[in-house]
Amino acid sequence: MNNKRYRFNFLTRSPHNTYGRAFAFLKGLTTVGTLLLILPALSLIYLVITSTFSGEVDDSFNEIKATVLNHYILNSLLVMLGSVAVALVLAVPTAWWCSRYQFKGRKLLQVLLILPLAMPAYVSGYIYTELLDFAGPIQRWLRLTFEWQRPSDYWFFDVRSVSGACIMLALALYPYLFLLLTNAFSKQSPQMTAAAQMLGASRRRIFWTVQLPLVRPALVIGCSLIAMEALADFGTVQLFAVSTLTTAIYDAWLVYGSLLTAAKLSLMMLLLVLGILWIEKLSRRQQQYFTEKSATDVSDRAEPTTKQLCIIWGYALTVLGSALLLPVGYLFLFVLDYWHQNTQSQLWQHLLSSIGLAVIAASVASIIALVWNQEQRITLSKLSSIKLSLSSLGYVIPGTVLAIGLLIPLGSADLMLNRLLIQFDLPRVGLILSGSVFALIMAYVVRFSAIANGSVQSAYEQIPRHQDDAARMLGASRFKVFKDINLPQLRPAVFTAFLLVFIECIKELPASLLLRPFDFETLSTYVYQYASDEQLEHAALGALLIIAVSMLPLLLLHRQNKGVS
Amino acid sequence: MKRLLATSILAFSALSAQAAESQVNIYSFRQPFLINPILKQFTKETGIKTKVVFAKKGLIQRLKREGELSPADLVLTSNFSKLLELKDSGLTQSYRLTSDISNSIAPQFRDSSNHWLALTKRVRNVYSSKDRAGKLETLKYEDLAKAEYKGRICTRSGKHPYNLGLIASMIAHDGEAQTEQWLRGVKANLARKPQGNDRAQVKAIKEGLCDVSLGNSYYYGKMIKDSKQKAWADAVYLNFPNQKDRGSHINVSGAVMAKHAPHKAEAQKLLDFLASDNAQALYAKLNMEYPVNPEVKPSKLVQSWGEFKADNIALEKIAENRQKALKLVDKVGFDL
Repeated sequence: MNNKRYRFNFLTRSPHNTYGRAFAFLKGLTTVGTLLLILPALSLIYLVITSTFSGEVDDSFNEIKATVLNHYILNSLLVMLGSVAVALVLAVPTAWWCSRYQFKGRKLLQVLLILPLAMPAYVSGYIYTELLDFAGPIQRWLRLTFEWQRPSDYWFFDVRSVSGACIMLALALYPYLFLLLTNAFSKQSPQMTAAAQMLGASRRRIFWTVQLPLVRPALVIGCSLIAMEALADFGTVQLFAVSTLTTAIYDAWLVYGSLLTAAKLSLMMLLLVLGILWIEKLSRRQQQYFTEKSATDVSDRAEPTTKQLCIIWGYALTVLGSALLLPVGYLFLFVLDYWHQNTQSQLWQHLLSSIGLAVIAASVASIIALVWNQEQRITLSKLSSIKLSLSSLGYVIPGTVLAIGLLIPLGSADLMLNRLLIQFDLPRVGLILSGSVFALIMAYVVRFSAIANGSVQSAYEQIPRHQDDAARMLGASRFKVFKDINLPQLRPAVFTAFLLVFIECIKELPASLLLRPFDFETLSTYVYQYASDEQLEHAALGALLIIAVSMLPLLLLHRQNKGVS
Repeated sequence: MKRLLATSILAFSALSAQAAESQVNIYSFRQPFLINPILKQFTKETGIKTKVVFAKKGLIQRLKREGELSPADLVLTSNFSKLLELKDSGLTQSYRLTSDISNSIAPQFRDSSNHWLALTKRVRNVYSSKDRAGKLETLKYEDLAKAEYKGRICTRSGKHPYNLGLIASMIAHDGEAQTEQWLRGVKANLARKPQGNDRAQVKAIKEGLCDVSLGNSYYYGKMIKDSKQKAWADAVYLNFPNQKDRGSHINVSGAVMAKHAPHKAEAQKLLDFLASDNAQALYAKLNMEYPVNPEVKPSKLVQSWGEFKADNIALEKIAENRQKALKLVDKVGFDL
């Protein structure tokens, strides 16, 4: 390890080869950018510190701490771990089959299994509640058939529970893991498997001791993405009446009316997330050992037996059916039943707003991911790696808290700007930062940079460093290395980053609810308003549009991946 | 690229910032389906345009942050706690008590210093299963803690403003200690953990999960008018609690004028309009609420539910106890 680092240091950080002015500019840019990205978190920390020193009494925090806080924390942890566990169960076998077996329809299946990413969890949660609730058709049918009367007459899975929330979140989030794992499994070096086989290991043993451990980076990144998403989720747990830290934050801020308490709880959540990120970092440390050796693609996919084929299709279609087909089918029924209510609003306007915002935010996030990662690759410095981690921090801040964390500094900036303008006898511009789409786009970028970073970062790590070294030795400038060596190899990852962020922006809800300007709706805010009033039926077409708009990029994503392999 | 981005953002925000023409900017906790037709009528009558942000949560916090630059002129709320919270946070200013307002809205439904104005009344009713509970003529809210309702009650979250309002009114009438006992009793009687909205509870009664539920009156009307939900409404009676003593708990929806309203004159016109017979009738018709304007009768359907005695305790008295109510809900773990 030391040896290796020394080698890189020699090539990239030799004292005779000082960084140029352009590079200093780049570093300044990323520093300022990182500060902007952690602005919401900083403003919350600032709030907590200043109020602590001013001796402000925070009754509601003590109240919550004394009564329900432990319960909330426990639920948050359960939802987080449960979602990851279920997502693993959904993603690992499907990803394994799709990358290591050769069967008819494999490629189609691979696309289909990514599509549930387009489904907002609160929408499918809503539909499963309708379906599985005591008053839903399934339990009604059971009661009729078996002549049960009261809930005490029989046991039925309570969908509005912690486990229900875990399943719902996992169904919406498992594609992250699936995407990363299929990629990792197919790029796995066949020599390792062959070696294990020669040593007489069983297929099962090879899977558990060689193949699965080899994809650990993808596994850890996928799991931590899902853990963070699940931790920050509000819509689904709220719908399921599961009180978590996010609901506590909402309560503290919106019911108790204490921003301070909300800020304190948010900081607790941030600590949790930093823990996740730290674990992820730890596990990445050893990654270099194998990524450099595993550049070749496997072409030795096994032919499954008929029995295996049945299991594969049965399992995959069950996952797909529950995550996508059933909810979408239900939405179609809603649209048909309530055609009139569904078609009379300004849906197209909302659609265009959503797409416009998502494109801008996704572009910005992709550029950030590229620049930050490039800096880290060149300098290998602790500082740039910290900047990279910090720029991903927004991912774990729940949307509402993020919105508040943004409104505080942006509002102050607006105030200063307007006072300045008045000083110079210029007309006021109003809330040009905090009251416009600027705030919304910034919220999206802060929130979803982590996704872009993750995608681009893992792609960077796939590019052996000796390529850069070789080009440098041959006299290429750093920019040329980036442009001609790295970028072409990164293009798929950047494209992936763009599309993933785009989808997340289309689905984003809590921050949009709070930050949208006057007379401005995104598809999500429009749909959620109906769902929260338990009238999703009337906005089902909107929900279908969200799914369709997010699905298109997913299909593009797949086409691109095909082009690569 | 960057410059393009910057200019487009500027252009965008110019659109969203306050323009010079005659308009009112509204932050609304109330839903679009209800507010939009009323605003449309207003624009038709006065030529004043309206712009709205609809949200169920967070608008007060947004207003606080925006401070003197806030573009909001009026805030419409769905319960009185928010009206008083707005006033107490110093986010409001007094409106002019025009004859339009004073003639149509009784003093108990407006702030003594003209900071808030109630627009509609809603009752916190108890729904009961026709088959298993029957009509509950003499029911009191207090009775819901009795052992006879063990495992028979459904309700939405205790932290929902409608339930908080009820609990706060219980504190105002019965005291904090007794209300805590009561809340523990109700919690012990719940058929399931609090979840869903008021209508979902009626649906649960229809399916036999529980026998009684808490719910606002207008949901009864909304269910009757929805072809799929009519069956739920048909399975229940709508009961007005505490008719033999203080009367049923009343909540109000209302409006305030924002402290830094940039279009004060237009906002005043809208307030006058909202108090008018015309708008009050729309409220009654569209959402089946009880108008605060005594000249305007509730809709035919609402009238068919009968006369009832309302709890006339001052709204401020109830609002004073809102924080206590909230703490009680957490203390007894009502939602857990």
